[in-house]
Amino acid sequence: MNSWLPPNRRKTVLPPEKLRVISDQITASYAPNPEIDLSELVLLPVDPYHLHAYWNLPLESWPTVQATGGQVVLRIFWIADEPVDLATTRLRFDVAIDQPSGHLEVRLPVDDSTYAAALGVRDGYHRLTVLIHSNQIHVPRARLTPAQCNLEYSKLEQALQHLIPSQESPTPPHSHGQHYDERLIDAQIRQALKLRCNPTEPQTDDRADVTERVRYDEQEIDARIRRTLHGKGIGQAIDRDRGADATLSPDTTAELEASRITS
Amino acid sequence: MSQGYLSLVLHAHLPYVRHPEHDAFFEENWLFEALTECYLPLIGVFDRLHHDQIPFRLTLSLSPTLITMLEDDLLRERYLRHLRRMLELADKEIHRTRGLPQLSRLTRFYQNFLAESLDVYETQYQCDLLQAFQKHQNTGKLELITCAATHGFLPLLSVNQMAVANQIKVGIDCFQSRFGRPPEGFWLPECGYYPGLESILADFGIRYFFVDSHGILHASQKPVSGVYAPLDCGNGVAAFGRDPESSRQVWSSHEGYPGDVDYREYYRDIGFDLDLDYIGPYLLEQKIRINTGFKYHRITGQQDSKALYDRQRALAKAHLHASDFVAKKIDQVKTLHSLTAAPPHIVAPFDAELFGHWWFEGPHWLEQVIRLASQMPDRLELITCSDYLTRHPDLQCATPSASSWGDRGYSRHWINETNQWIYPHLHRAASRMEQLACQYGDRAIDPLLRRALNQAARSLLLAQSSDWPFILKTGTTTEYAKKRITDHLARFNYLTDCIVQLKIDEYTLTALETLDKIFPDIDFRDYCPGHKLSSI
Repeated sequence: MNSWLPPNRRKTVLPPEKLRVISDQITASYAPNPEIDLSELVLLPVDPYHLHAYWNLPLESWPTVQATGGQVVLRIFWIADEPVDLATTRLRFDVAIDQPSGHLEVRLPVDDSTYAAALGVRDGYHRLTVLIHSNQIHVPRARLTPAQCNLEYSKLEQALQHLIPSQESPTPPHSHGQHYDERLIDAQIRQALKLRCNPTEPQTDDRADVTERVRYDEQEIDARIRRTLHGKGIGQAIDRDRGADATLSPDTTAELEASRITS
Repeated sequence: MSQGYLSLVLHAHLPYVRHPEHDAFFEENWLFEALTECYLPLIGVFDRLHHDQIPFRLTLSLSPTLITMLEDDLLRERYLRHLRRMLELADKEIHRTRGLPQLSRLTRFYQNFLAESLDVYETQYQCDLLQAFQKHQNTGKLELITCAATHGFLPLLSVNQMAVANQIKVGIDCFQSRFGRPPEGFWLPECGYYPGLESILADFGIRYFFVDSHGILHASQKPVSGVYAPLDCGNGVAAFGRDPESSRQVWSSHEGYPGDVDYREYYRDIGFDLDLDYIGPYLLEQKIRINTGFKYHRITGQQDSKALYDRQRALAKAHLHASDFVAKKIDQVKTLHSLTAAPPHIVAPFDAELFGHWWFEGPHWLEQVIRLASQMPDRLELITCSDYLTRHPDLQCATPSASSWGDRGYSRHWINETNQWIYPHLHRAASRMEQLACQYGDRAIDPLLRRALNQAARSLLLAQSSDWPFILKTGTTTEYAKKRITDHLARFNYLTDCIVQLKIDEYTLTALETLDKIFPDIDFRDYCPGHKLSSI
């Protein structure tokens, strides 16, 4: 390639050793520093059932945060189709945080959904004093939706059955100890999933036929969602006597054991 | 009209590896090996097909980093030096293997192979392989497309939309400045797609892109023809889905053709087999064992002991595999023909470097596939995706699902415990670039400042390459990948600090421009959302 540098710069011949010195000096002095004076919380979609979160709080603010006596948590919100008020929604779960910066991979209950997060300090009444809000992300669809599946089984699908391996995550998320207000959540899940989410158990065989179809039946979906959530250990800590806006008792709440990668 | 279509798509990409700060640099061999084993053999395939008047249609994606390296004077010079050195080794090998008929035949094969490579590269194409690809594009047989500037994995850069827009824009500009026209198609790095990306592609005049099979199958509407017809994303940009059957036949480590016992074994090389006293001069620092390209064994089987490579037998097997592939494609379209609205369209995309580099007989297989398919166009017609869109403009509208062709089909290979540390730095750098672009974009600024801002944009793009997190995950040359990310981010930090302080040292800036000599037409102002993206 002919040099694209302007003529005056083409004259500047830099010997390899000089280039090497400059490169090394810059790297030594300007390599990215993991400790920064910045508050940030960023979510990235990993696959239909996982998001990646990274966060940073200025190091000097960490003692103040810890001194509040509350638990620092990452609160993950499932944003259903309709606008959601993050301050009141119960479609959420918490992950304990014990460092001012880090990375975390979080397992998610529902694919093809939007999630957001907030990092803050949770008090004994489960109220969160938010320090940082995250961006919103949408995780991909893991399989055909009921609306798609409900179409008449076509010859094409039959012909393609042996051709199409599933690319979806082979195993469903196993979230233990999440706390949900089941009645409230059921209503919202029904609404949110109505036409979007196949309630069957995710395939454990990654070569499973993705063209599998299930006819849409709301009652059946509802029952299966309940079974699925219970099977995952979700919805076990429910105070059925409380009203929809009641606060969950901290002692009936367990932290989500998310699969922390590193901090 | 044909019963069905087959689109063969090769994606040629290597990360930008060019080290003028060293007299020789090991990782530059990635390009040299690909040139000898893949790009030159592929050009040989195209030349022979053209010479024999075979009416083929094939799509080749050339990444902007590869385009830049193929036309870089320093790398051209170093490749010639490399080829001559390998020819010298061939001479030594012929001498060493005299009296061993089978080995001797192999060494002479390599000598001829290398001599022919040198002749085609230096004499026939004057060290300009882009000219060779362009020649076949001009005959209408090869459709050239491109991809993102430095092969950034776009779903994980999308925190900053301008980062994604500039990966796409700079890539297209690089292609256009070299080939004189914009590409119609765009290869999303690692087939990494997320809903909304089609809008950015449309802004730059792209007509189509590719996704993996599940991107189509899990689309917002059920794809009535499965992956055998593209989807209109709703804005006129078409998404073509990878045919899983074709992928399996070629890619699968268990049942794919390249694993056949008669094919050349990639992992046996005299660089590892022979005494250091003998092979040392052709190794790294005379002592660190590396591949030389002289490989004398065939895959043979699972056992450690390998039989000698028999070139004729391997080529015969490639011919058989080509016949099998074409027969299976014909069966496939026969099955699908009555079930799809338009003739079924099988899209078979592959990494170009599979052909020749990893699968030594791959170019021969490809040539035979094209020759065989060209004999029966009424049953299986080779077309490009542009051809398909011209013939079948009415497509089903649906948005593909977010997906990639990486392990497990999404983003996990590019974000995990081995490489997650990259992303905060990349996102912060993109945000800082955007701030600076907006700060200085509307002003008449000093040329030195403009140069510094443009160089900062280059550093950012180079840090964003998907190759570095990929290498960190696969665990191959991790120290190099880590160093590259760190170097580019450090250069970005240095430049942006100088810009903020308005203290730019021209000598150092020129050094950085010499080190990262890529994307001459870049315009930092394109990082400002309010700025109308410039076109070259």
